[in-house]
Amino acid sequence: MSEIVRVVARLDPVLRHPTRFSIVTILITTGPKTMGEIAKILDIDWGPLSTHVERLKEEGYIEAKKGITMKGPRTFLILTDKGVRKYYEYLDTLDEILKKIKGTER
Amino acid sequence: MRSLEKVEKVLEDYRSLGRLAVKIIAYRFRIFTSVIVLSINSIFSAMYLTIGLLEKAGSLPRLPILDIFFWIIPFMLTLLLVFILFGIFKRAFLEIPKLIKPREKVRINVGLVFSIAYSLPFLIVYIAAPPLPFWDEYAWYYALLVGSLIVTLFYERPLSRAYPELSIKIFYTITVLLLLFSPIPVALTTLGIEGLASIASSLITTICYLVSALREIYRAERLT
Repeated sequence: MSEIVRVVARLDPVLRHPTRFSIVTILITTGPKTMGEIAKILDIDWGPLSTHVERLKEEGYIEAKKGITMKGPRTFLILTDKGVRKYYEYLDTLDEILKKIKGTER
Repeated sequence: MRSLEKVEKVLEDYRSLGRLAVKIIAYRFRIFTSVIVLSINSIFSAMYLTIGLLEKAGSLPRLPILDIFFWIIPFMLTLLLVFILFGIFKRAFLEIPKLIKPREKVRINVGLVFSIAYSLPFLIVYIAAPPLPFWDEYAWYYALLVGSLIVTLFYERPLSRAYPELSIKIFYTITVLLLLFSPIPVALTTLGIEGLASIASSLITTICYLVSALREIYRAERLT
């Protein structure tokens, strides 16, 4: 049990939050998105969304880039190489925890 | 133990979402690749068939100097369209693989592989002495076969090794199909119906590309 707690503690605190994990999952699967698009997909308000986006930006997981669209200039959120790396590290750690939990159950 | 089960359930959900993300990336990659391959082939086929038909209908003068203009201008326009398409779809070839964790480090110079594959074989077949009668009419078919083989060996295979999730087989299928039908242009020329060799080569190529792209879309749909 203590082993599981030790591995769970290793989970990236940035991605441990479901909203931040969802934002990164959206960006990794569909490519650059605007804040408005992400808010629509996740069905959440701008306030909490911008808090999580800011945290991801501060940690260097995502970056904002300006782009021109048919509807005028927009700011897109783009996943950085660090963001991609951290996402897969997070999934690997999850695998490790799940294996340990299954081992404990047996 | 109850709480452990709850934790397990939450973590399982996260993990499933992560697995789904990888599958969506792979799906997008296969669909993008199929669409770009099909679009480029359609542009080239349209150009080739239009010029071929105009020539056959006698609309184009047979003066060699005019032939050059009639071929070079549409070819340049076609290349321009292909570059625009590449610009639109470059994310498929360059950006999507960056979203997957590689199993092994493999350096693939996509631009170099494609540039060599679709220029060098064509230069060689048209510069070298013609080995068969009416060679100029269908030589491009064999150059395309070699080009597809180069892309299969130096782009598709290393990509599948580094990113098994992104494994595509579109250029492999094109190569196999082009090879399978490769005796046809020569056979038509040998049988004395060389006028058909050029159109037949173009038709076979279009069918090979279409079948390969559809197969890749089918593989994407069957992604588990």
